[in-house]
Amino acid sequence: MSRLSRTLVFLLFLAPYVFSLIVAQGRMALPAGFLGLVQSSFLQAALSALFAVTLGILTGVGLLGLPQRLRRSTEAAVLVGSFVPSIAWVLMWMVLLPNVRGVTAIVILHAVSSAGLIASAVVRKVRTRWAGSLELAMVEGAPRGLMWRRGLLPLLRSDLVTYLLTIFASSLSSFSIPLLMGGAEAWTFEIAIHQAVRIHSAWDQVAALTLWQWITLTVLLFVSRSRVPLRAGAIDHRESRAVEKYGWKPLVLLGVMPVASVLIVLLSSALRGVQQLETAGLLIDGGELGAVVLVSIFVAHLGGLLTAATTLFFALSRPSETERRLLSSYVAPSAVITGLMLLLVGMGSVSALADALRISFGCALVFAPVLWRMRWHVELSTLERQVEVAEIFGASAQMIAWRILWPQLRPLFYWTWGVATFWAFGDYAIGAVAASRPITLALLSRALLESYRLEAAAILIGLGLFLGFLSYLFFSNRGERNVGRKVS
Amino acid sequence: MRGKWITGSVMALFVGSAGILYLENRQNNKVTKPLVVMSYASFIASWGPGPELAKRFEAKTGTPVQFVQADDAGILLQRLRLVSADVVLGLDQSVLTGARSEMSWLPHSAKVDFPHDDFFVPIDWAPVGFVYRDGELTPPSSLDDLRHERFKNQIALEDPRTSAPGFQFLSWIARGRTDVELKTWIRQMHPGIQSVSPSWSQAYGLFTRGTAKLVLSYMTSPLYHQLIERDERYRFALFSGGHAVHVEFAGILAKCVSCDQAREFLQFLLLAENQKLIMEKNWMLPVVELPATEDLGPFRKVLEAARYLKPKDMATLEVSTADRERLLKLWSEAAP
Amino acid sequence: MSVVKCLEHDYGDFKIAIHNWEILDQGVTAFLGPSGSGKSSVIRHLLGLEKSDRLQWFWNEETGQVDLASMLIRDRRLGVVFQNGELFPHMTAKQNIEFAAEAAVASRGAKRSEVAASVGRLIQDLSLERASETLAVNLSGGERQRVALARALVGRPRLILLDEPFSALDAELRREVRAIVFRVLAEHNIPALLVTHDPEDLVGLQGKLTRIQDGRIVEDRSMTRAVEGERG
Repeated sequence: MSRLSRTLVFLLFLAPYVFSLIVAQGRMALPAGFLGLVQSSFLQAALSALFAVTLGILTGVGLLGLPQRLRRSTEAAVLVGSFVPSIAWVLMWMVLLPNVRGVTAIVILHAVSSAGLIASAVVRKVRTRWAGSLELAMVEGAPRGLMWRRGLLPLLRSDLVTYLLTIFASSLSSFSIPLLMGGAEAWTFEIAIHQAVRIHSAWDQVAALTLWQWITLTVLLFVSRSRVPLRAGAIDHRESRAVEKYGWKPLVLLGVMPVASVLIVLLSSALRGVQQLETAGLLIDGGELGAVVLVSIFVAHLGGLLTAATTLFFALSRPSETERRLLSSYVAPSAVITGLMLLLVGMGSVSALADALRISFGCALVFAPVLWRMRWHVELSTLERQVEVAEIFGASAQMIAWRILWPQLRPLFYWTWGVATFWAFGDYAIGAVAASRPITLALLSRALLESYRLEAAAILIGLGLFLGFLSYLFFSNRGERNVGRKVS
Repeated sequence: MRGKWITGSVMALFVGSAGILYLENRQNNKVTKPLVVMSYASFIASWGPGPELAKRFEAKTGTPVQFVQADDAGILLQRLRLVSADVVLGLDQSVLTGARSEMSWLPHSAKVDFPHDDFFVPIDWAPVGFVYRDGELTPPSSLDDLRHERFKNQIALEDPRTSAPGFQFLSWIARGRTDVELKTWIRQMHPGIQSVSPSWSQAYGLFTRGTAKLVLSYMTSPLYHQLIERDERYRFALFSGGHAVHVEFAGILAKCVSCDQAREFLQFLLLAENQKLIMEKNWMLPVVELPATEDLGPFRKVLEAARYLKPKDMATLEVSTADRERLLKLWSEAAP
Repeated sequence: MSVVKCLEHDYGDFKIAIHNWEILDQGVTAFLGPSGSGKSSVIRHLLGLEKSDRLQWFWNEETGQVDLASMLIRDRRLGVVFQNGELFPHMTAKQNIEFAAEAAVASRGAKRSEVAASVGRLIQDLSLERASETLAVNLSGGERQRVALARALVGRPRLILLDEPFSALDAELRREVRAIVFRVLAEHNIPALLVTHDPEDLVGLQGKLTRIQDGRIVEDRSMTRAVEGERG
C-alpha cells in the first residue's frame, strides 16, 4: 500500500511532463540561442539565490533581536512577503522604481519575495539549536559580531547549500516576475517555454525546454546534501534572553520594508480603485464580487488542503531517503503546461465547479513539491530514528503512520495548509489557462487590469492578500501548538 | 472557544462556497445546450460587452451563450485542443494565419462592409497610436517624431512578441523599411523608451500612474477616461502619415456543436445596436456604419477622425507567419 | 547462543567484516571499541536498519534455529535502546511503553493481558511511577533511558541491543542508571548486546566481551577475564 501511494504521488507529479511530450507528439527541439538562455537564466538564478539568502539571514538576525511577542507577529509579516503574489510585487515596483528593469529588477524582486522564508528558517534554527550556546556566550560576554561570525555562519552552513539551491531552483523556474520585469530577454526557462507556446506554438521546443529544466533542477537539488541532524526528539522552544541580545533589531527593516511598500502601494490605490470597482459594476447589490470572494476562499482553501494532504500522504507512506530527495528535487513544469493539462479535469467542462477544481489541483501540483523541499523533507528526516525504533518493536506501518508520524507532523500539515492557501489566493498563472472565466480574485483583478482599471485590480489583489494572510495565521496558529513544550 | 468559532466560520464559508459552485454546476447542466464562445477576459467580464450580448442573443434566439475565457491567441489555440467551443472571438489580424494552420474553421455567412474573409468576421477595430495627457508634453506628430529627444525615457511600449498592439506597432514601423533600416530605426528610438512591457495592461498601468508620459494604445483609450473617470486630459496623438490598426475577428470552429447558432451569432454581432454596445463597453470602434442620428456622445468625434484610417482589405491587414517570425527576430535583435 | 556467521559490508572508505561471532543468549555481550570502529554500524546491520552486503545470523531456540537475517525488521523480535533514548516526544512515558506493548501484541502475538501486566511491572521495576504521566520531552536524561529500556523490554525481545545507552548521562547518573538497567535485565532474563566505548560500563558484568577495531573483531572472550584484564 505504501509503495502504491508513493508511486501514485510520483505519477501525479510526472503527469504534466508526460502531457507536454504527448502534445509535442514525442518531438523535441531546442530553440535557437539555447546556450544564451542557459547562461542568462543561470546567472539570474544564481544572483537571486545569493541576494535572497543574504537578505534572509540578515532579516533573521533582525527578527531574533525582537522580544518574543513582537517577533512572532513581525515574522508573520515578513513571511507575508514570501506569499505575496508576484503581481503585487510588480505593481509595487512599477510605482516605486519603474525605471529599473531587466535582471536587476528580477534579482531584487526574487530576493525580497524569498527572504522571508529564509529568515523564518534562520530564526527557527537558532532558537532550536543554538539557544544554549548563546546563553553561554552571554554569560561569558562574547560580542555579537564574534558570535555571528564564528557561530551563526557555521551553524547555518549545512543549510546554506539547501537555501541557495532552493532559491536557485525557484528563480530558474520563475515566471511572473521575469515576465513582467524582464523586458525583451528570456531570463528564465519558464519565459522561454511561455514564448514558445504563445508566440511560436512550438510544442517541440516546449517539450525540450521543459525536460531540460526538469533535469537541471532535479540534478541540482538531488545532489545538494543538506545535512540533517540525525538526533531526533523534541524541539526545544525555549525563549531565551540571550537570543534576543544577540539579534540586531534594525536589520528587521530589511524584511519589513519591502512588504510595507507593497501594502502602501496597494492602499494608495484604494480610493481610485473603489471608484473603478463601482464603474465596473462590481459593487452593486447582486454584483459578482461577493461570489468571487467566496469562490476564491473555496479554491484557495481546497488548494491548500490538497497540497497539505499530498505532502502528508507521501510522508505517511514512509518514503526512503532517495524517494524523499526525488520529491525534493522535483519542480512543476510551466504554469502554461500544468494549466493546459488540468483542462482534462472535468473533461473540458466549462462549469465554475470544474474551473475551481482545476485551479485547486493545479495549486497542489505546483506548491506541494516546493513545500516538501522547504520543510517536510527535513522534518521527516528528523523523525527517521523514531520510525526505526517503532519498526524494531514490531509496530505496523499503520501504527507508525498514525501514532508516531501524524501527531508530530500535524503542526507541519496545518502550516502547509496555511501557506498553500495563502499562495493559492494569489494564483493567476494556472487559473488564466485552466479556468473558463475570472472566478477568483486574482483572475478578476487580471481582467480589470485589461480594462483600464489598474487601481481596482490593486484593491482585489490586496483583498486576496488580506484573506490569504488571515488564513495563514489561522492555520499556522493551529500548527504552532508544539508536540510537547519543554518545561524548564 | 474562540478557536471553535473561527474554525466553524471557516468551515461554513468553505461549505457555503462549495454549495454555490455545486448549484451553479447543476444549473448549467439543466439548460439547453449553450453556444460556447471563447474570448478574452475583459470582453466576457461583467463590465464588458459579453454578458449583455449573451442576454440579447438568448432573448432573440432562445439559445443561451456561454462565454469562456482564453487570454491570448497562443494559449487559446492550445486550449481549443482540449476544450470544445463553437466560436472564437477576439483574434487579431496578426494571428489569423497561425489560427488557420492550427485549427479548422467553418465558413460564415455574415455580410459586412469591412475587410474580412470567408472564415473570419471583424467585430471591432481601432487605430493604434500614442496616448498622452494634455499639458504634460508636446505630442508627437509622426512616427519619426517619436525619436525626438523631448520624449527621452517617456514612452511605454508593449513587446511585439507578446502583445497584439505591440506587434501592430512593429509592423507599422517596418512598412517601407528594409531589415537594416528597421533595426536602425528601433535603436534610434531606444532613448525614448521608458519600458517594454509584455502586455498592454502593464504598459498602460505605467502610463496612468505617471511613470511614462506616452503609451502605445488605441485611439479609443482617452474615451474611457473621459466618460468613466470624467478626466478630459487624455488625448490621442494623431499622425498625419496614418496609423496602424488593430482589428479583432471572430470565427466558427469546424468542431462546433451549435454551428447554426454560431453563424447566427456572428451575424448578430454585426447588428448596429450590438456594435454600439461593443463600442461602448469594449472601447473599440464598430465595423459597421452606425446611424447618423444616433447619439454616440464623444465616440462620434473619434469615429469621424478614424474614418480615413479604416483598413482597405485583408491583404494590408494580414501578416504571414514567415514575416511575423522575421519581424519578431529583428525586434529581439534591436530591442532595448 | 546466537551466531553471526557472517556480516560484511563495504562503505567504500570503511569495511565491516565479522565472522563467526557468538552473541550470548543469556547475560550480556559487551561490544567495546573506540569511536569510528564500526560498533554502531554493526548494530544497525543486526537490527536490519541497513542493508548488508552479506549477513548470516542464526538464533538457536528450543524450536530450532531461526534465520534472523532473512526476516523483516519487525519480525526479528529485538529490542533497542539508543544513546538518546529516541522516545516518542508527543507521548508520556507510560504511553511510550504502551505503544511498544501494543506493537508486540499486534506483531508477535503476545498476550494482551500479559503485556499489560508487564507494563505495570516495568514501570515499578524501573522506578518510573512518578514520571509515567510526564511527556517524554520533559523527562530527565536518566528517566528517558529507563523509559527507553522499559519500552524495549515490554515486548519480551529475544535480544536487546543497547547502543551506548549511558554516554549521554553524567558520571553519577550513569552509575545509577547502569545499575538499574543490568538489574532489570537480569530479573527479566533477557540477553543484551551492550555497545560501549567506556570500559567502566563493564564493571561487575558477567558475560563476554567482544572488542572491535576498524570493522573487525580483535578480541572475543568471557567477561570476568576481560574485566580483570581491564583492571590489569
